[in-house]
Amino acid sequence: MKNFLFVRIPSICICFTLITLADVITSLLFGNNTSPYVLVLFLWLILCQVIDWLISKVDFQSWIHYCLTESMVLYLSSLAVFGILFWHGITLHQFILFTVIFLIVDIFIFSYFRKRQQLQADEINELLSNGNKL
Amino acid sequence: MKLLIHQDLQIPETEIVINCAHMDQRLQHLVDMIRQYSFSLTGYQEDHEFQLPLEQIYFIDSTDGKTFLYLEKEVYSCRETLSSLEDRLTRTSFARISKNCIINTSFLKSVRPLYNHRLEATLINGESLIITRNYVESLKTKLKGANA
Repeated sequence: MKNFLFVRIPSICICFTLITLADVITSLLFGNNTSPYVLVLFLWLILCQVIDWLISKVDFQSWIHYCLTESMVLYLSSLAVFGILFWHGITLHQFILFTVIFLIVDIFIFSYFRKRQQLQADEINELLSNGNKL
Repeated sequence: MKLLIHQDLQIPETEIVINCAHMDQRLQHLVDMIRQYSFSLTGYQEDHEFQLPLEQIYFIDSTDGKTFLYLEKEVYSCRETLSSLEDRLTRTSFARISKNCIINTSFLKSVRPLYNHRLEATLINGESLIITRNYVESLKTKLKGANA
């Protein structure tokens, strides 16, 4: 489980990102008819990291407050960014699809990092309990 | 391992001698622990100077450029920087857990996950401290070394 969370998932994500980016950049450079959507999405995700870093400076009372605040900020800003850049007059269908995809990704990301942290905490607690037994 | 304690009122200074074939990790850890008992830090309270035994210090914190030593109930200011203390305490049970805090792992009771890649450390006196993501691995290494 630990190997899957700490090695396999990041490895798959890094490879997928780099290959997709390389594909889009080369297509754009050689003048192929490719949408810059993936490139914009990548740049937006970098900006999301900055937003995440800024939100993490706030002293939240609980993990759920942090999740709800960050999710709301990212949802509204993503909706605004993609609404302005790619959707010319958003339809109900697009809005629902965007919301569903956002929720799936958001829940996955928060659950993933929560699980990683839980594993780290468990490992430290085990080391502490082993140390106490000595 | 054979343990000999020779108690005599005529002995002017406590002395610990280790006879061994070779120094392994467990023995090195024991030596580090013993060394900690002969080591103290200077703390100040209202211009009075105190020598504080290392094994009584729970954690060291830096706020607004000032360093403080936290014992179970008392707090002392310290004239050294957190970085210089970190260097001096390398071979002890102290570990850096954030940009502004060094913890004595001997008093660490448990940790639990917090939001945004941070952990919350609880000490045996109930004090809670934040472990930031950059220091989680070094804390684990320190604890692994202690258990080796």
